Amino acid sequence: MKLFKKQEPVTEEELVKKAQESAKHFGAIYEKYHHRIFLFLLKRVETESEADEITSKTFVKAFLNIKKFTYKGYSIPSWLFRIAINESNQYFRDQKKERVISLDARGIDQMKTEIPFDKEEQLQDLAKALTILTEEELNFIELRFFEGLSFKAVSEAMGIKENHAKVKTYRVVKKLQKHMLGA
Amino acid sequence: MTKKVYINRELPNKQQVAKYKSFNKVFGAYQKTKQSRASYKNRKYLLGVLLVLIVAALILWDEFGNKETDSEKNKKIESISSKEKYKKNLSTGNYVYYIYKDCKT
Repeated sequence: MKLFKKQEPVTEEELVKKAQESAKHFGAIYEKYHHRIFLFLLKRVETESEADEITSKTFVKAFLNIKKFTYKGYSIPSWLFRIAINESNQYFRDQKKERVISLDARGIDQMKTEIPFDKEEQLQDLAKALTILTEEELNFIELRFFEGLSFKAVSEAMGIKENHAKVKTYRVVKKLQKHMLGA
Repeated sequence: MTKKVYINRELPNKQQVAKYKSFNKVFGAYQKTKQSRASYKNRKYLLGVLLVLIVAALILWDEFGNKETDSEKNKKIESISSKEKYKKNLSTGNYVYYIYKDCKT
């Protein structure tokens, strides 16, 4: 006799359907994506408590709007990233806090594929160049290189078409290259 | 907005992040927001309320508008009849003057 029944993997669609049917099922979405959204937000703010506050707001917003969510455009993480970006922007506007950019090893390696550099000084130049970007430009770089999202996911998170996301991202990369060469 | 860059910043691991995980907190905030959200803020309700108000305004406007025209008509009739009465008692010159005034109005 099997003591534990093997659980079938739950798809995103099923998760959303259940959450739309009953509020208590939203907990599964929260459990699954909390860590990812928390870290995404922590990379943008100074402290963990700030990240926690914005993460909570993000999930409350998602919870309130889960019934409007459809699979026509967005997958759950992209949708949550989109809400998280809006909530963090709102937080910066309200609290007048400093925007943080966190460059990690994986993100730097990803960026090296587009902007080849090998010296430590050039990394500093890249860090400086990132500070001149607008909030929107920074979002493209963070989602694509630091979060490792596909262009489709980036486009979903930014609410634009995939080709548009590609063009915009490469424009930002060119801008960074230009700034680094000039520095 | 000023920006600060961290290179290879130490981020908390899954266990450290887990201590911030509290679905009850989110659920509580959700319930609170849902209760405080007035139904008129919902677009569906707002459109319904607006539609009812527009229909009510049209009905009232139609009703009062008709009443006004009726009363105006009555006034006109009254004034014409009184003038006619008056005309009969006046001399010829005054009679011409009143015809001119009526045409103007």
